[in-house]
Amino acid sequence: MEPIEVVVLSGKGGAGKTSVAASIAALLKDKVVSADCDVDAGNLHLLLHPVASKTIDFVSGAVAVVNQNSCTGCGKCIEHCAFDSITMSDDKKAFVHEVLCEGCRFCATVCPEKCITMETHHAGHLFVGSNGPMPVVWADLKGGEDNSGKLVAVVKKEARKEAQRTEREIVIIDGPPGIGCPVTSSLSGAGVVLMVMESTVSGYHDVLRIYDLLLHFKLPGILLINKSDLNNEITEQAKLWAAENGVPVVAEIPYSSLMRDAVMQGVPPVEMGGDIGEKFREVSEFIIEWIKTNR
Amino acid sequence: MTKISVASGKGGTGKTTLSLALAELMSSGGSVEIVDLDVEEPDVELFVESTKIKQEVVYAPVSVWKESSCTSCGLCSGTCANHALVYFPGTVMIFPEMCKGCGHCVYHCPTDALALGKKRIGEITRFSAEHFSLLEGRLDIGVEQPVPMILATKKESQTKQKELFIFDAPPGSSCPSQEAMKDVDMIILVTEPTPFGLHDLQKVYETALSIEQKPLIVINRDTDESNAIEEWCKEENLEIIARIPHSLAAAKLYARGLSVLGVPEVRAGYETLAEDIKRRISWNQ
Repeated sequence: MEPIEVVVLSGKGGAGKTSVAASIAALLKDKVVSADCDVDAGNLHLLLHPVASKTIDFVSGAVAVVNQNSCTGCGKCIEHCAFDSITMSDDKKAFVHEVLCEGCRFCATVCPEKCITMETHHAGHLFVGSNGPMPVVWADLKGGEDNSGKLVAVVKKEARKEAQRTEREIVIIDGPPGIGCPVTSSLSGAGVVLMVMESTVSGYHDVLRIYDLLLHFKLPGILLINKSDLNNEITEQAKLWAAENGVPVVAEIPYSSLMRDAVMQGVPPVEMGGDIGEKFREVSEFIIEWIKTNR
Repeated sequence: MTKISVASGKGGTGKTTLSLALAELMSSGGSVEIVDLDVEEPDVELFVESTKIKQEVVYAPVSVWKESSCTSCGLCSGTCANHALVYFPGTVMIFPEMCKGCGHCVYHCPTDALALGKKRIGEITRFSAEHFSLLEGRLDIGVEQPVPMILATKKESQTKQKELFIFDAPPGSSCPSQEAMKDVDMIILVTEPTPFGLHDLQKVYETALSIEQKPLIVINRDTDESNAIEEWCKEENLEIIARIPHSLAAAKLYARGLSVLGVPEVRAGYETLAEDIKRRISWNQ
């Protein structure tokens, strides 16, 4: 059977995605593959401490490179670039600003000297490894690179391969913040989305945008309210909204300094035990039940 | 006119809070505008009692196929580096969400069956508040590319005369965060003293370096556990210009959409920051 993907998203950063994903992974370590799809600022490995068994080079999308010897400075490339990524240098040669180049190849097409080529470069790494028996896949995109959506897709592909290899039924995905291309990419093939809402006005606002995105892609979502006592009014409002929209509320986790302590110690917060441990156990059981009922 | 970009790598470290505090504390010295460039999740407006003044739809170019002019020559096939165009004899399919509007396919079409049209990507809204103005870029749900929206919002902000622009950047360290840090006079990176905060600070520092900018560092939710960040900043020769103390009271105010300047020790931290910045940019006292 194809593994089911549980994607943890929040829209807002700092809502607790990684703490939640790591805790679920720790509790279900015999059943899941963990994948970190926050490829530009991923932290899951700081809680799960996986050991890499395979490192894969991630190659960027192509950017234009001008052969300075044959460039005559005609400016045709500058004229056609829609992204203003080429300028003329003082010595009348076309100069490509790599960070602006979208790799569309238009310049290479129109160059009469055929002196523009498209070249890729090393943009980061992808790691496949494990924490004990649990496979973990994570990545590291170099700062300022684009194509984070493409790297997310590769992380997911490797995670699915690991799930099939180890016969695990669930892939738990720590998602990126926002609603843009890496998020869209992390949603491709998702089974269910665990929305982590921080109980603040911005946390609620941002999770509503995530929910709109789920409607757009026709994906089911379940809600976890984190730091639920930071703003009790917002927590109540979110629960009402969830009930009206048929979104199950998986758990309410009150603010606790233990969450921060866990991050400081580099362990999944579930390992702090007590009430928090109990909450995460409920979350994991809920997810298992949800999968049984809905897949 | 000064432009300051507030970025962080990790989300939730306090970019929006810092932008708001700076705007409030510096507005007595001249006109200030916050530009919300976290276009995927713009939140500044939730914290400001403001009036909407103007709203504008933002469009991006997109290739459009006109069936009646198409001769099925196939010359457009394979021209799209983003795989947004698929050619079959008799039909051309364009996936607008993947098209970046470069015009490469249009150039190859000999019969004008392909042309650049436009697609809606979001909205820019201008708000006025008591002490400062706010310009918000908001990406539509389902649009994947935030960078054109960030560019449009930055461009719109520069149509007005203000003495200080504060760019509230998106989290992360890839192209959207890079775009929000470009062409500014100062970059402030906000971090928190946790392993996550440090790791992501290192990532976003890489981003700043990729555009040859040296950022200044602010530690938010400061505790006595900030050593790792201090050591790293020292190694990289980065200046820590303010420390905002950890405060549950501030977190609760933030949760309700209220200013954290109501907490005295937090206010003191931001005042130190504002004074430091004023000196650096020779701000009117």
